[in-house]
Amino acid sequence: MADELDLTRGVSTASGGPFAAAAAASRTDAGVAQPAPPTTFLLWQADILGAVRKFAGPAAAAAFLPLGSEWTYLVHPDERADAVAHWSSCVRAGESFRWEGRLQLQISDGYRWYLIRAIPAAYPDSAFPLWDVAAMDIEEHRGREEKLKKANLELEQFTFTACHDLKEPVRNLALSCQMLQQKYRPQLDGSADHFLAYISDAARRMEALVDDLLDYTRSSVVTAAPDEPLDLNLVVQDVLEDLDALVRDTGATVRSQQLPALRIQQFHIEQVFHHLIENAIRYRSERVPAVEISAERIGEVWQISIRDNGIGIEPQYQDTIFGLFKRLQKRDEWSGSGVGLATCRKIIESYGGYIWVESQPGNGSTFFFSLPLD
Amino acid sequence: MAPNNRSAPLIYLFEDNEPDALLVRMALDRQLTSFELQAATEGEEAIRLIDGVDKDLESAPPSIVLLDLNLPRKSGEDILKRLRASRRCSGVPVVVISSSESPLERARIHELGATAYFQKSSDLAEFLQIGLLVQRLLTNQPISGA
Repeated sequence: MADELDLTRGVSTASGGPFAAAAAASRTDAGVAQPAPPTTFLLWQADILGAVRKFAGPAAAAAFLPLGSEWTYLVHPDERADAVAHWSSCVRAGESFRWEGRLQLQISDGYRWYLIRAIPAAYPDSAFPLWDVAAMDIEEHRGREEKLKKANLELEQFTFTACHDLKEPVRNLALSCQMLQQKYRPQLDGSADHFLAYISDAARRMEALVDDLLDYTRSSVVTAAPDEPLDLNLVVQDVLEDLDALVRDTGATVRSQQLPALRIQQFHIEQVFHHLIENAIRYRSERVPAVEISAERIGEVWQISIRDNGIGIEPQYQDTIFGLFKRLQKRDEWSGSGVGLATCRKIIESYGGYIWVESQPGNGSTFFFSLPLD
Repeated sequence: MAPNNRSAPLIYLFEDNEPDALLVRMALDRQLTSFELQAATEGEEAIRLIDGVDKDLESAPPSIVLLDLNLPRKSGEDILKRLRASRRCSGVPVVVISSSESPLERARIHELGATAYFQKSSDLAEFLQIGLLVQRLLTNQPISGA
């Protein structure tokens, strides 16, 4: 039995059963202060009130719950009542116990997510029945689950708002055609009528395409970071080539200091630079746009900044601009869709980084994003 | 603010999409014999209009508000909340105009106190029905001068 536990950290594979190993560990570990890895798996026996009677495995030695205390004291205060209630009802009914929640098994661990399962012990003492309890660390699993939930929520928001924002121009197209056909038909010749029919038809097809696009976004694919670091200097060069027309039209200058190489998907970081540099030029003030890109290493993080001399952003909008479909300008002033910065945030956060802006209206903005070294 | 002609209802139109605003005006032209229109194309402008009515007792509150949900700077929901909290506009009928088909959105809008919900159609005849809706709301409701 003990040999099967070697998949876990902190549990000995020494023969003699889990409880013997625990006893040995508590002897050898005594007085040795060393940071233990998070307890990933722990076994104990508890009485019907939940009081711990025996621990198994050396990890038990590091658990700070004294024997005789109820294991539910390890549970996060917010979830304790739920754990206690579920434990009592299972024990009363003699049913196996299964519960997920946050527990702190060692002081150094902090609260982590565990799956707790318990069954009545194989050889019950009818006067003093015990339950075998197993706690398995599911922190990473939960983390992934939470991320997935967040991603799904964002996707729902995206599809909802995209319905509005993408269909609107198509609808305007269709309506304008109908207006022309109704109001100006006497003045139009046959071929003009044909062209109007083509436009109407195109609008209908576009409407269908938008619907398809929405279906496509629902099946978004998560891609892993590449093994080889990517030279961001080359990425900025490529992006500037894409933005060449805008740069030339506005007379903008874009200067980039030496940038690092980072493990990030090219099309992801390209999008980030594209949106940030484009915004820096597009939201210009009276001055000729001047954009400065620089990078600074702070500990284990690279912080990239894109500074402009544009119109700036009022403080109350500096957070909201990263939301989906958030625009600050009227449609006729700028052609932004309100998706760019939300996309940047999604990308940067998916790599464990942050994105934010510092700005004063009239004095330009500096967009920062951070990316961990690894 | 221009003096309010007693016989001409004052209509607030908060819409940032120009073609939609044009069609709404056209629909109103077809249905109403006379009306006065105050338009705003972004949220803060709309809020300023409502604030203005609350502060200046001489100015006439609108007879009806037509409100697009997706405005820059302040959302339609924010404006609806502001309207319902307003001293002089809280009782004014509000028609929310939106191209969304979401029943959830519709429910939320009614919770916030919208009088009616008008879905923008890509069919011209259907879109122009907004004129009828406004006419109906205006004749059912006495035009409040206070």
